[in-house]
Amino acid sequence: MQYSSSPLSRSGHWFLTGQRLLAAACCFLSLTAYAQQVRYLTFRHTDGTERSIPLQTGLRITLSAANGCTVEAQGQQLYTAPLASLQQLWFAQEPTAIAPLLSPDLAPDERIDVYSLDGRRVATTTAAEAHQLSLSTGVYLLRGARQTRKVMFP
Amino acid sequence: MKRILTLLCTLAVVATATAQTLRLTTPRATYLYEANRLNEGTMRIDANRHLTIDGFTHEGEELILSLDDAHFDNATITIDLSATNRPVVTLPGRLAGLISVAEHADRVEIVAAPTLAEELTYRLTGNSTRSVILRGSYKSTIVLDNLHIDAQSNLPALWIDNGKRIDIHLPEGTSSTLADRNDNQMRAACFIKGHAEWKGAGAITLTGRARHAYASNEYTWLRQSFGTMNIASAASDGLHVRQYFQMDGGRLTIKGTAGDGIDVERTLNDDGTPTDDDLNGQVVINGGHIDLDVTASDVKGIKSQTDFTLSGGTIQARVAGNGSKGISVDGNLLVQQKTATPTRVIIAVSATTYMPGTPSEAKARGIKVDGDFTFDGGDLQFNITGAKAKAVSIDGSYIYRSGTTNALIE
Repeated sequence: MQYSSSPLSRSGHWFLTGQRLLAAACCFLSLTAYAQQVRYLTFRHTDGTERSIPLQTGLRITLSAANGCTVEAQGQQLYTAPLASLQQLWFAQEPTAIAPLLSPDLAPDERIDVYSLDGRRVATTTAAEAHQLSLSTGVYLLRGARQTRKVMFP
Repeated sequence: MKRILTLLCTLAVVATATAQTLRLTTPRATYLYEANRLNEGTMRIDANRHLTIDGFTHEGEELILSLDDAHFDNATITIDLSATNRPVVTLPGRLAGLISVAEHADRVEIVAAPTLAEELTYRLTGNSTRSVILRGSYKSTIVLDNLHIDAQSNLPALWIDNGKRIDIHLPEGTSSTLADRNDNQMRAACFIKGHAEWKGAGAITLTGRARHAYASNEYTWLRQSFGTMNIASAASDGLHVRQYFQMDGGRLTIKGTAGDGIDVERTLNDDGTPTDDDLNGQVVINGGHIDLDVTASDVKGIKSQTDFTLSGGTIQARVAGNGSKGISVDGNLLVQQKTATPTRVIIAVSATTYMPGTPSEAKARGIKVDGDFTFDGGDLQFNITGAKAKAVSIDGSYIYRSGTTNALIE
């Protein structure tokens, strides 16, 4: 890039550079502010599962003896849970969705077989102890008497 | 290019301004939190309706959380006495462990913990019959924003139980009123324990039905920016101030007092001797306008227990109560021209002697000085019409250096 030796042109160049810096600063400020916006309210239950609810206008969370925890917005009930089942709540930019590994109506002693994707059975457990599985990273099939789930172990 | 820049900057400002606020309403108060700081691990819940945020546990039959985009000041507590169906006190959640709030039928009481080590602002607004009591031990700012209290308790309408420097701000364009009930057990309708500094171009009207309309246990200083204070009436003094009273600006109107207009007394040690506090017992006027109607018998428009210095501003008094004085100085009086505001005293005395021939006899005077009177600038005008009344009475010496007057002073 060539610069003119004219003081006017030089100052013009610096003006443009200053504008770019200012624009960059403004963009940075915008992004910083945007990044700070939270978009989800997440509840963690005592069984370790989590539920994220998108934030919206008029969101109202009530904790009461009579109705437990309820989340409403614009007349719609978005979530409800007994207080005893709740452990934490927080705001986040991204949702989390840690769901129960298997249906909660399974009998605790129901046998669960764990298969790798190439069809080898790599473990056997029960519904009650499935959350304690220790497997190397990969995708597995968990098979019970009435359902089969594909699960990724990170 | 400029348009793009403007747009980007506007977007930045808008994005920054739309902070998300979590509003937690408990039976006691509403607490405000920045939602983006409430990330994982900051809010815990239990089966007993306890919600713990940042280590402080909120409890109540019902806790309500809502989210909005309103910005809040992290050091301001708002007391909106007109609030219905919600607590009157709203405060930043970070102060939950430092500020306790109690709402009663006849009063709202806010107590700052002794461990609080930062200046907070209390913004008071709304209409109520409930007294407000602010207790603390760190300097603070009180904003009276169209506050109207006609107290129906045996307490002051506003009681600031804090011995530190208290800034009282009357925002421009606002008008507040404070009145107590006639069984108020404290010293005044507006009672400040500490050092009161009044600022702001707004107005306040005080009514003291039990004793004084206003009292402070340490100095009271009306700063140059001050607006207007009206004393509508008082069962005793309009203003009863300890340590000293200083006025640099604004307007102070006092009428309907059964006692003195402004009474300044010294602060005392436990053994009854005067403390060595600055300007103890003095009145210092550097500017502003004081307007006094002295209608009760044997009282003073302005009384200083020690010296009185008038360096600028106007004092206007109408003395109609028998035996009363416009200005009464237990120490020395100095009238001079030392500020940009002209020094003027205008006193009319239409009263005569109070209970003549008795041990309680008191003579009507424009100015009464127990010590020396030094006149070094300004203008003193008297209109004496009461029988046996006099413009100026001096027990000590009269020292004239400069200034004008229509009275014979000797």
